[in-house]
Amino acid sequence: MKKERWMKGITGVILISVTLVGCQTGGQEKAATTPDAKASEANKPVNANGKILDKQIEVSVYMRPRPESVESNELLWMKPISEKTNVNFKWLKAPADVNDYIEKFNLTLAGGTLPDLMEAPLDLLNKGGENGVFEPLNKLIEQNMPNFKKIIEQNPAILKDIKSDDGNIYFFPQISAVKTINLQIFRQDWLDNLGLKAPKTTEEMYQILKAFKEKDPNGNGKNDEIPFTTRSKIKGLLPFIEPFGVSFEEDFYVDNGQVKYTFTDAKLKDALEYTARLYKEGLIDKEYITNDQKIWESRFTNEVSGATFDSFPRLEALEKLVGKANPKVNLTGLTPLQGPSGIAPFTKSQQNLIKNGFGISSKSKFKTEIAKIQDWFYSPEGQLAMNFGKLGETYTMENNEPKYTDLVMKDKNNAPLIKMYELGHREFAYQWDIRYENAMVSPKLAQIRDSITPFIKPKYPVALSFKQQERDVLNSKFTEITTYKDEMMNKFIIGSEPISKFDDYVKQIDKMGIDAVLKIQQASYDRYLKR
Amino acid sequence: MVFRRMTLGGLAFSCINALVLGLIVVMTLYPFLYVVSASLSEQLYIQQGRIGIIPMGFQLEAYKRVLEFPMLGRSYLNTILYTALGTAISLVLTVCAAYPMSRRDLPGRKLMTSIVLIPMLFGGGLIPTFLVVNALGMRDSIWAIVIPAAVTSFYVFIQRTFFEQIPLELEDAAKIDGCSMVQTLFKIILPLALPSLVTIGLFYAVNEWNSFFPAMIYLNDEKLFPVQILLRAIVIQNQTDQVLVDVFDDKNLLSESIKYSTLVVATLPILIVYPFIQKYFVQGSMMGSIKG
Repeated sequence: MKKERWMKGITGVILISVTLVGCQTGGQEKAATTPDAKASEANKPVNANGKILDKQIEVSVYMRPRPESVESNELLWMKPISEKTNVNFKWLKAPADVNDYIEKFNLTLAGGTLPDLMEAPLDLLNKGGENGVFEPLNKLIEQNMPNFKKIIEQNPAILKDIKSDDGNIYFFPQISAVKTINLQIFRQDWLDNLGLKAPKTTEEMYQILKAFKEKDPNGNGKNDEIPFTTRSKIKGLLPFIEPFGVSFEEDFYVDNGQVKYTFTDAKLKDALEYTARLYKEGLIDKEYITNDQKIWESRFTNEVSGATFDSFPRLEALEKLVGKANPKVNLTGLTPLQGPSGIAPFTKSQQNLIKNGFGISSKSKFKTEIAKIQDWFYSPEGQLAMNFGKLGETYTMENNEPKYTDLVMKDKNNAPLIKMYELGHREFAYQWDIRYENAMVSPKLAQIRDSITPFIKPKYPVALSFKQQERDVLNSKFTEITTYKDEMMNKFIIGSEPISKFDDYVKQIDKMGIDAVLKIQQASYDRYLKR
Repeated sequence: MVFRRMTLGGLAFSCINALVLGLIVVMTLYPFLYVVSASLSEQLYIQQGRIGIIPMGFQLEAYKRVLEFPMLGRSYLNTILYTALGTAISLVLTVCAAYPMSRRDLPGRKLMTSIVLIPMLFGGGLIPTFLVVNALGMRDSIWAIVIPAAVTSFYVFIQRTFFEQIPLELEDAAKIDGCSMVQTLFKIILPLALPSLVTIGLFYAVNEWNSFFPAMIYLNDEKLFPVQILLRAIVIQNQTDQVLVDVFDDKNLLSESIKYSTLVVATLPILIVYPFIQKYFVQGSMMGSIKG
């Protein structure tokens, strides 16, 4: 009896809360939709001309924000876009952190009611598309998207990367403008102090790092230099590996149509030997495995390190940072090194052509409409609006070249990019304009960046896709191999395992089943070629 | 004066005691002081690792930046609302579960206990939980924040144990004086259990205050965001994978200081609550309730 009474009490509480919940959401939905509905009615008769869509619609979007992003259709940057397309964008609040973002993306898919347009990494969109969550776009592109069609016809590489293995296209790509990403950053003033020239070969590199170590380039009278440091763990040592003909940037490479595993390549042995020598002599940061951004920065601000391998804009970032402690600092970027074996210098460190993609929900009411506005994003006019904002306000045309106005470039925090976000700039799927990037970096940096571009070699495609069975094998075997490989790479470099053991290591990888993995990669790569 | 009466051994013990406790105080206090001092220091010194508990290159710009964030006021109010409402709901439900379970004459008490015990050992998993919340229509409302996490089994057990310590004779006395069961709960039991209620309430409040994950996954409307989401966004501002954001600007020159001041802004209010509640922790609960 007593128990029953208690149970009733508890059920009562739950019931009440559930009813409350019902009321709450219902009320909110109404509140959210009414003003929009009114607005569209008011706008319709006035603005039927020159717009992409005849009728105003509201498109819900789930896309990744910057913390500074201001989401509103009324802002200086966004208003012309919203007016031209006749779309009222309704942004669902998304986390800015990558992992959080993906977690919420997956949950939203699980929840069932999808926003019309969703941004995500490509493989997630393909996977969702193959499961019917996102609309196949082939027909929509054919019928409604002349501008986008032109882009993919002119760039077969883009078409290949956005097609899924089943022949469908499930997303609109954000197409980037530059390929350069990481380069070797050196203290030019240290080189000058010691009367040295920028290294061109691995041997010169060794000599210069040695000079950094021994000849006190920071001039404090102490032998405290750690010539080369990084915040990217083993990937930060890439410039010492690539001259030998292999790259940490890709797990696999293609040789005569055959997919091969990078980390058992014989060329890697020489590369590791060289790197291990640098490490042993203290030319590479002894703590590179554990360094984080903070330690990496402190190595520079304390002026113990004079070289690193990092993304190109960091060159100026570091220069400003160190400049606070030592105004004479001058950093430069190096092109990839020539190795002893005669392989032409190259790098595979690069930005992906396609950043993220946007998929249309297969349940959306506005598929054709969205295809039309997306097509405008890719058109020359849309590209200007997306990259540069509003003519006369955020940019002006000088000699047919768009230029940002002082409103953007002379922002009081000296942060043009962040200012753009605050003005409502959003990174939808469109083509990045190289001039957008140039406006953000100094001429010196743009020049250094462009000096690397000719050295960039295509890397193993990232847009491969796998079937479920294949994924299972990769998950079990390849994960294990990767863990073992990572451990051994570091061991070889820090010298806790002699290079002579390299052949044993290769045998071990064979034993762990690299053949099965290669077969899957080969199959997937062949499918990719046929797209 | 006290020392004079002590033996040598006692004195030594007191000294060691003070030393060890003092050391623990230093160890627990230092991180706090470090964060405060770093939030007031210039980025350069933080990066060089030269900050101790005294700020170097004093600046208040970082706080200004954090407090300038447009949604800060609104999300602070949200957090306070969620904390207050969430704690109230949690306490009511916890008492409702713990009190009957503490009565030894309750039929099926063991079964109830094991049902409450299960979620302590196994979780429902993220996606099923999400689906339930979604199906109940709580998404994008305050209820998604305060209801799913309302009861923590562990606290139910703590509260139950506390109720069990209250002598049954007290209840009998109340019954003889004509109290109904509900009256007994409100007039006798709850006042006696105040210290434990306050303690558990504080646990709930701190959890609610610090929680950001439910808000992240259930809320789509910025107007409902608690302050933790906003501050998390500020903290991760600099850890982006977008290359171009790497371009340095003056705002980023403060990023480390901003991170620390964000921490201070986010934790200070709930930290301030502690001293006011502390008296309940030390207060004896059963003093003089039963005699003989």
